[in-house]
Amino acid sequence: MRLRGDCMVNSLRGKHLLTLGDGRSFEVNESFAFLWKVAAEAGEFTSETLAEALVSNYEISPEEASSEAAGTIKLWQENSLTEQ
Amino acid sequence: MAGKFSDRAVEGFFALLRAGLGTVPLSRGQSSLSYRGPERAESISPLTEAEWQEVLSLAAQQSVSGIVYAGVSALPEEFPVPDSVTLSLMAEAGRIRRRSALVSGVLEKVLKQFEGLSPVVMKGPAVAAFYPSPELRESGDIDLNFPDGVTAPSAPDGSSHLRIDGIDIDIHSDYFDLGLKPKVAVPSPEATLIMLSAHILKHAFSSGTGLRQICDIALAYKELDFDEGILRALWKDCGLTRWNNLLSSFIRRYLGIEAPLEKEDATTGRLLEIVLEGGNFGHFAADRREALASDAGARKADTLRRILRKAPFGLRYAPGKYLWYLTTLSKGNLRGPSLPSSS
Repeated sequence: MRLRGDCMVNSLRGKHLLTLGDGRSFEVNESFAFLWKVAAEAGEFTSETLAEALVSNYEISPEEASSEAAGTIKLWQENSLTEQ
Repeated sequence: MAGKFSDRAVEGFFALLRAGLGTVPLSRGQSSLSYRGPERAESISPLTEAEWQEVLSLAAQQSVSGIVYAGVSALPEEFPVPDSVTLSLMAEAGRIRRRSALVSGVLEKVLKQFEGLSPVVMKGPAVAAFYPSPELRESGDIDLNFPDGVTAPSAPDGSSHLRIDGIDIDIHSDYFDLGLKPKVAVPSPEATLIMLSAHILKHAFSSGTGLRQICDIALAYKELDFDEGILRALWKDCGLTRWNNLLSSFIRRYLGIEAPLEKEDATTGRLLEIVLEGGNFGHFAADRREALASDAGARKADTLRRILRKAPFGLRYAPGKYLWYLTTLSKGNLRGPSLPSSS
């Protein structure tokens, strides 16, 4: 899957803002912003792509990383932030 | 000095702009309006919430919110920035990045469409490439010019204006504003610099000019590999030496970039007044917004009034070009065609 091209996360001084294609914005947390960046840079990504990035960058077990990645992808899909 | 804005807000704004352009790092301390040399990190003093709001207004009016966003991201971590400002700048950065991506996509389509005709991209996306983060330069229209011997393709209605995916594309029959015909190859670094400088001057003569255009040429000076001797000779041939001395002095003083000049001009405050009065293309001048919302006749009359009001500026810094512009527009108004667009 891919992130929708008209959505983006901008970060500034430890804060992160998700901007949707229709111009609406939502503040998101660091984990969301980190995974968004990983997914955006990867282009095509899976739950494993995100889990691996979490393990590499944070002190987190593979199980926790998988759970966090799957939860984030579910959130993105529920809010139509991804496309196939 | 800064009219409707407080001195502290204007000083902070310029310090953030310089940081966003990658001119000089910032540290906490006493900020100043002008750049005081490359030997030290620049200081910026903490701003009140109200002053921050002025900085945001200035950035929006000058169409440089993306640069100020980059400047704020360069502030030391301990420097206080209200959350409302951070969120506002992130939202602006999102808007600017989305628009930049759209313009880039449209440009790609257009260049494909005109493949073989070797269009030259003027301003906009071409100058964005000079920025540390091109996608943070606020995008407007796409301006194209075709080399000598190629007729500019027209839209079905015969005009030289296209609109694709909501983006305006203007096809200019002349690469240079103000009737300039410098003896220089197009495209070339020197031609780009003359084109950008004349474009700013044209707007300074009339509705006003903003910092986005001045940042464009400042970064072009920084990034382009040009021959200063050839450039100065072109200034002289075009009657633009005094204007470029003023513009380069302004760039050095307020943007901290080493622009070429023959002689330092100490009257940069005159250009600062024009910049702060009207913002991007002068659209924010007190009564300009009303005129822009009116019919074509009222807009023309307003522009002509503004040009006449700029007589002391025009006659001092580029008298030949000012009189040419005034005469040409006056004749055009009598005949009826539209005034040049704000592109």
